[in-house]
Amino acid sequence: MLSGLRALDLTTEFGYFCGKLLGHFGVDVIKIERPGGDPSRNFGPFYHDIPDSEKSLYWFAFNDSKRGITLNIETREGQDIFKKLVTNADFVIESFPVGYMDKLGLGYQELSAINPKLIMASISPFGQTGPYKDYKATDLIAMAMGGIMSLTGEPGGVPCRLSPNHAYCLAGTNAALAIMIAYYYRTWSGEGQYIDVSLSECATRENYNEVPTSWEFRRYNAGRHGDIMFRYNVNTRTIWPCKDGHVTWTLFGGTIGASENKQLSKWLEEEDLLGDLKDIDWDQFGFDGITQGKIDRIEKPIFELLQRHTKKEIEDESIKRGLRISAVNDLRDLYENKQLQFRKYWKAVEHPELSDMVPYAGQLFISNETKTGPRHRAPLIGEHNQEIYEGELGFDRNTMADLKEKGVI
Amino acid sequence: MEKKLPFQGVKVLEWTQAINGPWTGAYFADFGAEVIKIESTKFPEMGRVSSPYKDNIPGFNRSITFNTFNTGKESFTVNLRDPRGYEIFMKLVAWADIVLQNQRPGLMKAMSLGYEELKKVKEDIILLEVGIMGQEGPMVGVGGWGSNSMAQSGQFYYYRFPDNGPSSPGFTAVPDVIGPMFAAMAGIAALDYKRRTGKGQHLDVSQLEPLVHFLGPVVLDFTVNGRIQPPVGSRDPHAAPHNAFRCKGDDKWCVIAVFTDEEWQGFCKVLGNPEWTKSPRFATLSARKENENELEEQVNKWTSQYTPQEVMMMMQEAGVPAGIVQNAQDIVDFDPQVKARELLLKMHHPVVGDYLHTRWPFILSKTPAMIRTGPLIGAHNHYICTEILGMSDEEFIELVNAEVII
Repeated sequence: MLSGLRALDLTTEFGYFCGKLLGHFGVDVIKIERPGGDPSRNFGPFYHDIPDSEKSLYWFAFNDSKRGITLNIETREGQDIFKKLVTNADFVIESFPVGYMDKLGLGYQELSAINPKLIMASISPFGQTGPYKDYKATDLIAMAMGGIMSLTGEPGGVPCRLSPNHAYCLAGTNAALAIMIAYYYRTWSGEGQYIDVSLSECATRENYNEVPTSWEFRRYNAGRHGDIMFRYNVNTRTIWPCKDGHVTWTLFGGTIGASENKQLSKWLEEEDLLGDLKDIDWDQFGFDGITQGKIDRIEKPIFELLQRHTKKEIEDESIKRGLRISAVNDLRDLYENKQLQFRKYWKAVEHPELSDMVPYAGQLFISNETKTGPRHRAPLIGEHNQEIYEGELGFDRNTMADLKEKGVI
Repeated sequence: MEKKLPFQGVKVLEWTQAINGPWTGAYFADFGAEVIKIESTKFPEMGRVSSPYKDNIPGFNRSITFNTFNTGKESFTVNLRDPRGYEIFMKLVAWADIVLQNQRPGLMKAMSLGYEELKKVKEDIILLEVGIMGQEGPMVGVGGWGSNSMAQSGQFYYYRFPDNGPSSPGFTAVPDVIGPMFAAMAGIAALDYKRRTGKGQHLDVSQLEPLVHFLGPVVLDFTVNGRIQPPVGSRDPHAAPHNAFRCKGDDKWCVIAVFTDEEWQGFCKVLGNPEWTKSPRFATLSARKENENELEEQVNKWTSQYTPQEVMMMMQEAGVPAGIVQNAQDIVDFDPQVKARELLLKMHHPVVGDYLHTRWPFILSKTPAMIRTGPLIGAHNHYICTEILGMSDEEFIELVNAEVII
């Protein structure tokens, strides 16, 4: 969708996801690594469990659909080369400590003087300003500062972060979106600009229900409730054990819940579990003034029903009966998921040097006109040095050898 | 002179519910598009009837939640089941660049508002449909909520410690945050595609598909190595200590993440280099991973003497990533970074009064978001009918009396 545009990607793991997404939209993303390769190439898991900087699945997962060059931007020559690349780039993405790019003479001021149409996005732990700007953060720290961690985990127990790399993916997505907004502005104004993305603010924004509204208007910190959903006046179960794992379902009242609750009652009746739920008029049922006792009475037979069945059985019944129950998929369930199979989601990506086609997560969405999703595997270390430095910048063999010897590329 | 915004001149017609659709539209409105939100007083949008309300009194214009997801839009209440309402909708399709919807999959088609029908009115229309599972496929009927896409996408499986079942982040539906970002990107890229090629398109954005990407290497570990990675909770395979640790006070916790040797040295120094840190059992990352339970016990002993703020400051001064497990109050009332960067905007709404709103977590230097409060229900009926659709006042009144505009 966005072919013809180029991004220079200087990010660390904070920001890999941004360039990956732009790549999925068709942007020519050039990942710039330090000579020898990014440190995260040593992050496991590895292809067939063989530790190797060209076999990191961490690297594969977050850097597909990019080309790759090596460049040491801490050297004078490296900086000059980077500036040459900037003249021909649309976007620069970086996630170094605040002020690092300025110190190298590669801050937005300098780069925009070379290319006024440049859009530059910085992803940092706490943002480019403020008392915490020089503090360090990782995925865990951002999720904690944003407040979501105070909500996940067992009551009174250790706060649990969401899936690993969640904050990094959030920040990468926010940065990619911000870049597209800035790009759209550029299409008619001709102006580039600078974008400041904060990892911890991305996590705070995700915590939309508590911050600021619930605190401001309910004066209540929700806390951790395990598999139960805290709903201020009462609690309802949201994760339900079943025969071979878990499923999710949430009780709703009013018109939102009525038809589904009737369908569920029918299923309970078929399994002789309906009991006194038969007296409930679901068209009149709502949460106004409801007691926890009543919720518990409703949920008890449902708890029994779901425990009788497997994830697959429940999923099939949900489709058949129009229930909003979903299996808590593990990776195998996910890979075999009917919906994703139907939408031809999994995409085989070629890894020629491994003589393998690897199934990757696929399209970001479906369009009748355009394609998104992974285009090719992540780059090898310095894979496109020749293409870029010789092909585009016109360096000759001697210059290349000289730069290599000096550790610039 | 009015401020320049990226989407000025862009027109969005939105018929949406709850969070997923409305939040997508808010990105366009906050960055300058004119967004008309189709509503109805007979069948109010879910956000209008979601608590909390001003003074706990329900009312279409009293929901704080609604304002969170509908910033800067125009509200137009029209009955689409009435032929005249249908005709008005189609006129607005002709006016719009993007039609955005997240009603029950199949509803638009059933009401003769599918892509083919819209295209007849406007050849280059962009139809942006957002949903939980998408518009097509065996599971679209299940649809549901953010919790359904959290479960389906494999996310929920990892929201837990190894010994517990999955845990819900309260009422917060993570996919309702992530889905709209992808939907907005799809819409922007489609606008640009139209600018360059003259072609519109039909976009089907699910929450499920983008969310799978958030699992990153966990997915490839399965597709390549056949391994179902176990949940790790707040730990990390590449770091130790890496967890939440108990602090002084009631349910107070800090987080510490030690990845490198340098960070480990800094960490030990903050603790005053006690004897246990010198043991070979903790000397290297792999040794610390092996003895992580014991390590965490030691860390907890130390952190429980301090407040989370104290731990964060001491660790950060020594170059160790550390933070506070903040609750909503910590963030809204006390976080100095939130204050300094004005993450929470002070808003004013004619009925709700003063309230806070979290701005987007990115700042554009030349075109920052212009965030205005959500519309009162039907507030723009007259303006839209007369100014955009070119009706006379009499025609407008007739439609109101006929309950086409409701």
